[in-house]
Order: sequence, then C-alpha cells, then structure tokens
Amino acid sequence: MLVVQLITPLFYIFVAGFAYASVIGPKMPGTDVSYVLYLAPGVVVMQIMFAASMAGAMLWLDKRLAMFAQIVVGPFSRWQYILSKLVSIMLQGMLNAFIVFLIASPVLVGLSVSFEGVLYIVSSLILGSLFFGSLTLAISVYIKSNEAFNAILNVLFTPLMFLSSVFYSLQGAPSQFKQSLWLTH
Amino acid sequence: MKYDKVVAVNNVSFKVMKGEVFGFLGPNGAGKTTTIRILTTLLRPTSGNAKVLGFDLLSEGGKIRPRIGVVQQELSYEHALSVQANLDIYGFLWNVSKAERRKRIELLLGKFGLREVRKTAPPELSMGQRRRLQVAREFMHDSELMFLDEPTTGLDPQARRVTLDFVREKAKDGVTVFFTTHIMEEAEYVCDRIAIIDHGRIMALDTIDNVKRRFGGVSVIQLRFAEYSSDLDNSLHSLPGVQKIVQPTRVDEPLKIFVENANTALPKIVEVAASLNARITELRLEEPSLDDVFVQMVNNSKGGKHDE
Repeated sequence: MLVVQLITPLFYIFVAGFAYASVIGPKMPGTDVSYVLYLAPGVVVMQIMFAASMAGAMLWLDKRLAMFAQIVVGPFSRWQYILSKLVSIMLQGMLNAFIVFLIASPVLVGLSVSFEGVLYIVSSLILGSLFFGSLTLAISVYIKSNEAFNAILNVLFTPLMFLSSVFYSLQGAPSQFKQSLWLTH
Repeated sequence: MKYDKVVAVNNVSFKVMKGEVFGFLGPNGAGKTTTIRILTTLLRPTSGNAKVLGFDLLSEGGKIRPRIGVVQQELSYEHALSVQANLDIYGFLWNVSKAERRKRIELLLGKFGLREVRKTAPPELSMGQRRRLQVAREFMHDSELMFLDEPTTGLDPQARRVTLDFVREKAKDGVTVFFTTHIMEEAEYVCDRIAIIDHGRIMALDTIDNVKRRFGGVSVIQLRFAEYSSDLDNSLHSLPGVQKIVQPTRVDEPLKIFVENANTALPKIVEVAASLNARITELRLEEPSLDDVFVQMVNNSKGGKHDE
C-alpha cells in the first residue's frame, strides 16, 4: 500500500518535474531555483493530503464492512476511535512525506532550511494532517455510497492541489482570485 | 425509536434477569436489531430510556460498553488479517493479556472448527466459517452481558448446535445472554424466557411454556379407535370446545380433534367413546409448538391485533 502511495509523488518529481523543467528552462521565472527544486518540497508536503484521503476511505470501508459498528460498541469512546484514525493518518502522512523526502533528496540539493523552518514544516504537516483527516472523516460519515465518496474527494482535492502553488507560482493569478488563495496555502 | 417517519420500536419495556438466556423473537423487520442497537449504545432512542447492567443507557454508555459483548447480524471482520490474527487483534483491543489471548485462540479455534483455516483470511472462507469467526471473536474477551443478533445465520446444523451449546455454557458461567432469532427451534433449545416482538411492539413475554399455554390457541388430540361410527362422529362434533375433526386420509394416520382446551375436552372425549363402546387404541396430545404460537401471533399482528 505504501509503495502504491509513493508512485504518484515520485512520478510528479522525477517525470513531470524534469519534463516541465526542460520546457521552463534552468530556473523558474522570477526565482533562482530550478523547477524540480521548486516542485519537490511541495510534493513532499502534499503527502499529508493524500494520506488524509485514506482516513476517510478507512472509515468508509469500516462502515461498509460493518467493522465500524463493531468497534464503536467496544470498550472505547467515539472520540478515541476518531482520534486513533487521525493519529494513524498523521503518522502515515508524515512517514510518506519523509520517504518521499529521502528519495527526492538528490534533487533537493541547494535547498536550505533554518531550524525555525523545520519546526514550521513539521507543525504544518501535523495541522494539515488533522485538517484534511477531519475533513475526509466528516465526509465519509455522511456519504452513503462509494461513488459519491470518491466524487466528492475528487471535486475537493483536485482544485486544492492545483491552487496550492505546488506545481506553479500563482503570482500571475487574477488579483480578485488571489484573495481566496490563502485557503490553499 | 424512529427512522425518519417509521417507528421501528415503540414503547418496548422488559427486564432481563442476570444469568438467563433471554430470547428476543420476531419476524424480519420486527425491531429486534434496532432494540439491540439501542441497548448496545449504537443508536440513541428518540424517546425513552433503559438501564443496562444498572447503568443509564443515555448517560453511561462508556460504562456499559466495556461490560458487554456484541455479535451483530452483519458479518464483520478485518479482511486483510487471517482468522487467528482477527481473534488476536480483537482480544488486544479488549486489553486481554498475550498469554490469555493465546489460550483463548486455541480454545475457540477448536470449539468453532476453525483450526484448519487459522491462517486463512476471511474473504477466502465460506459464509458459515466467517460467521463462526465472528461469533468466536466475541468470546475472546469476558463480558457480563452478551447481545447475539441472529448469530446462527448461515451456519450448518452442527455448527449451529455448537454455537448454541457454547452460549448455554457461558450462561451457566453467569453470563447474561440477549439472543435474537426467528428460528423457534433455537429459542426453545437455548432460551430461558422469550419476548415476541412484531411491528416494534412486544406481543408476549414469559417462559416458553407459559407463552405456549397463554397464546398457543388450539391443541390437537390424536386418536385411533377400534371402530369409528357415524354416531361417534356426531357425538364428538357436538362436544363443547371442539373446533374441528379431521378424518384420516391414510390408514396409518390418526383422527385429529382440534380443541380449545385439551384439559377439559379430553375427559369428555373419553367419556363419549366409552358410552358408545368405541375402544380407543391410541391417544396422543399434541401441544402447539412455539412455531405455531409465533406464526399465529404474527398473523394476528398483521391483522391489526397488536395487544395481548
């Protein structure tokens, strides 16, 4: 499962990243970093969003296979159940991000991060996991069918991904539109 | 309890004694599962309340859940884990020690005939084996009260007997069992007392014998005479309480007399036979089965006669 989850981010960095870099040129316009170096950190952090979508899928699967009802009549509170899902998703997201970071480290040469920067990244990963995990859990509670669950995740996550500035700078976006981009950063 | 505008369980009230096997019987859609879901804190009732093991259902769910075991009607298990791992992780979730888990796994694998498939994942098992796993899993931990919602669905007769015997064994050890089924033979085999529910309302609540006695309706007296004359037939028909007489259609069949009350009808039948010199060669009394009582009650309920 972990291997499957790593295919997409590695594809973004090592296939799409280098392919676009050849079109864009040695440096991203307006910056002094290469496109791959611009792209890779964002893809690493994006792992929490992919892992979070798994949280909802896990709850959805538990519901569909009647394990949800079995677990919640066990010696736990509902909060413990939800919290355990969030923590497991957070750990999964962090692990995925770390593995992608390790594999992508050769292309990250030249990237310097201060100690405060590391703390900022880790806290962003934790908060992001909690946010996206809670969101997908909430969705999976109310959705009745597998198809609807997948459709809603696609509708939500695809725009978030492309509005996150992971793939390109949003400096050129319309000014009215820029006002709402704080949501995706 | 209401689902949208449908009342699933209405004004249901009963007590279950400690250490008894209490059968909650009813046709499909009667409200059995909804009642179990409420009592196991899975659903919140729209009105009313109950105490489970002395704890308030609405405010003390956290004290109830660690003391109960639940076998739900829907099959449930961890798909990716083997039978043995399913049992083990369930015991782990219930804080059962590793040594105790190992002991119980061996006991339950043997008891429920799962030893040969211990390394197999549930999707590769037959329906009956999956059900056995689900029932066995609930015995990985101790509970004071067990809710078994049609636990024998999909089991073959032998596995069903093993499961019911195990339930009885647990009851002897002091575990209270709340057992739902629509198979009356099972209820007669395993339950101390029963409640019959239909359309969300309790139609009868007592021991099986008392329920049969109170709601059983007609009894059947089976007779064979050395000679059966038309005089005898007329006399039997004229007896009070005789509902109908069914003549045998085959030589080996007895005469069947359907009576409202066998205790009062039987002496009169014998008296009439003696007065007409008709020798009785065989006499048998057939009490209504729980199946008969159940079917009759459900039919009455469909006709709108809800109350006892």
